[in-house]
Amino acid sequence: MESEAPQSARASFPLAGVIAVERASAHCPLDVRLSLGLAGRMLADLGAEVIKLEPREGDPLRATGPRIGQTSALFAFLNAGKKFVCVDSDAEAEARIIAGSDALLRDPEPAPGSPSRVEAIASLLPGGDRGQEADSEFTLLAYSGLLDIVGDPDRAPLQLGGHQLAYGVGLALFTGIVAGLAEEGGAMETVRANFLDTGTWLNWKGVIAPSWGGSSPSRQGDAAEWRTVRCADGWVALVHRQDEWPALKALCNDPRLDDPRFQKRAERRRHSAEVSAIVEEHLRQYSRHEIRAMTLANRLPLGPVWTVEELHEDSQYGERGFLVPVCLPDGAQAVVPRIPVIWGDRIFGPGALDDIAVPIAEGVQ
Amino acid sequence: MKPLAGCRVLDMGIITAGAATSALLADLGADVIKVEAPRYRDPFRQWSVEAPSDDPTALPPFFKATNRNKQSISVDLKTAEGHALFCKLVAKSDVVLENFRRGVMKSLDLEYETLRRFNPAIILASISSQGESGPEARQVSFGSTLEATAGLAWLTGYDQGAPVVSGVDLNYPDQVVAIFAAGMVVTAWLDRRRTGRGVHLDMAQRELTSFLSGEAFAVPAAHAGRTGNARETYGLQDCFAAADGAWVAVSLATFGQLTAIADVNGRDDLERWIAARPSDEAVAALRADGVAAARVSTASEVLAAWRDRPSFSLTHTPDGSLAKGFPFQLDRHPLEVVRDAPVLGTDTRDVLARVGGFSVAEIEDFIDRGVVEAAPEPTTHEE
Repeated sequence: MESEAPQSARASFPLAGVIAVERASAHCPLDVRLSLGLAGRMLADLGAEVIKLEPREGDPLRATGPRIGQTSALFAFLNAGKKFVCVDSDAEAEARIIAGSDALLRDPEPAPGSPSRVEAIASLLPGGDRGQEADSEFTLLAYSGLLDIVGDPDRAPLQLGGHQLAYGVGLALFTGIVAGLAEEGGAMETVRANFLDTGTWLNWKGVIAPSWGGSSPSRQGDAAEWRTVRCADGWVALVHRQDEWPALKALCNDPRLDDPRFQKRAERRRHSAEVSAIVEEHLRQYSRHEIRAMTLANRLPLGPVWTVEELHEDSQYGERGFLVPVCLPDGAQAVVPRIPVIWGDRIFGPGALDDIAVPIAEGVQ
Repeated sequence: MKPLAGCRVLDMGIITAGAATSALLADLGADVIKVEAPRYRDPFRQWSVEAPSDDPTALPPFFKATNRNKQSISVDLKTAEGHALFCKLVAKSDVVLENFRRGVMKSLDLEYETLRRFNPAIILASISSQGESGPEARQVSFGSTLEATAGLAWLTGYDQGAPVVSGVDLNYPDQVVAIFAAGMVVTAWLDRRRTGRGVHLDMAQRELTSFLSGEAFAVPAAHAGRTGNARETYGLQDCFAAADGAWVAVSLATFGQLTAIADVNGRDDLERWIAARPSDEAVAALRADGVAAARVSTASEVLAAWRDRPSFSLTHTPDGSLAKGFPFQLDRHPLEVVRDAPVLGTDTRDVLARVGGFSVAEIEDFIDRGVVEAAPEPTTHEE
């Protein structure tokens, strides 16, 4: 499999020739910067030239921890392979750069100048900047109901790890941009994505259920049908449907699982806490590697919970070249996921993380 | 012209991940033909946990939402004739999309190399758990399995608590993949327009799940355990119980942000302050100070709020029912639902004639011999 592309090879990348500008205004919330950043990173990985406009003091995400040497891990992940340009409040220079681009990624604050094909606007709420200062990714998880679903019923609602909603919006921006570029006719298209709509869309099964009298469960904790249970050296996600029930019973070989209440999914679901506790007793004797081997042999969809550190040594990820090094400006290296697609026989790793730009007015031409 | 006008997709996507990807392609204007078989239905046709109506012929709401804007045909791909017929459609299509278990496309003799013989520029979009290659390629999994194996569960949970998965009701990785996979198909379509070449897109949902928490991979040592709702972007972020029992979600940069609220200088102060008043009052006071604060909504409350102020995340289908809308919207060529999800085989006759170029006699012969299956002639329901 080919990886790591010199500049010349990038000419054959799927988005070669596309120029995109990423611009977050001074008031852009941090969480919206994450969305713009992810969409830009994906465009860059696939061969677009991505110009990230930064103020003199740099994107505030540069200041977030944890760090690799002097570099924010979050900033490095989102910005590898981009070209940083500091216009330092020179609106004319900014307008020139945007006018030379095909696509502009921005927050709701209008930018000087227009790209030629697509403008993609990310905000926390629909309709732009209304009340953005008093919202965040976390409050939008609350509004979209995603927060209510994960965790224990008697404890605080939990968000999924990382920045799932901000990155979900990033994916939406990316797909919107390439859709806009695919339009024939040459007129400008505007893409709108926001945290409330993407969150509600992701949570659609729960949200539409009341419209036909269905139920949408809140946090179920240990009573959840699918949850993590202990095994000998950690945890495993206990996931099964009706099709896998016989294999799971065979694995445990426990007469308690023959209880008539457990044989049909709808009824078993109501006794999930009891079922999971019995299965857990059996899984406790196996390690995660043993469980992995059993899932491959028995077609059971059980998921060993790997740590992020362990995944750096994972044989599946290794064979597919999934984790790739990125060179940082201080000479250090970060190992991050590549864009999760193998394109024929090609993979697209991100480029290096460039150094922060000096203001163009002061730069050497 | 919509973005994907002129792009024909043979959709073998099932359940959520595959079917929702091609639904988004259909929303963007692609001509999407859902392909099922006399002995193989999209399992989502049967998967109604609770029946929405007493009408046994009604399609389940989850199936309807992920199959709107599509046409439906049923072809027995396991017969030589059915296989040949499908390949004839491949020759007249641009994209084949599938998310079967690895090995199924091979057993159907419909691998990329086979499809290319009939259409050298075909785009094959494969969405799978672990990808086409590697020692775990044949592992069976559902969304929450991948949360565990991709590191997301390791990063999700209460401070110092056990890893947590999103579970069967959300099944997060299966929802989010549709936005990504649709983006990759559109990118391949753009690339083909420029180069004339098709491609096999090998997309692993496990990899997508890791990609979407990619920053943790850069510094694994900093993620030795779980930290609840805390994030690097805010000084304090968590949910706090209010006096009325509701939870209040708060993202606070620094306690210096609190100017009108007196004597709250730390986490414990904030917890006590919120616990002493109803959630609405706490949220209003925090927001007046410019602090991100919101009451945690249940699904019914989200729906009620959407009805007050509709936006594009949900939409009504032509039959009037509420369905999933769109993850983003376009101003010039808005995504829209113009057709309800099809009853199995609704479009078999039409697609075989229009795309496959078969005569009426040939089509009726296929139907009689069970090579293809067509819906009963439309019986129009008078309202």
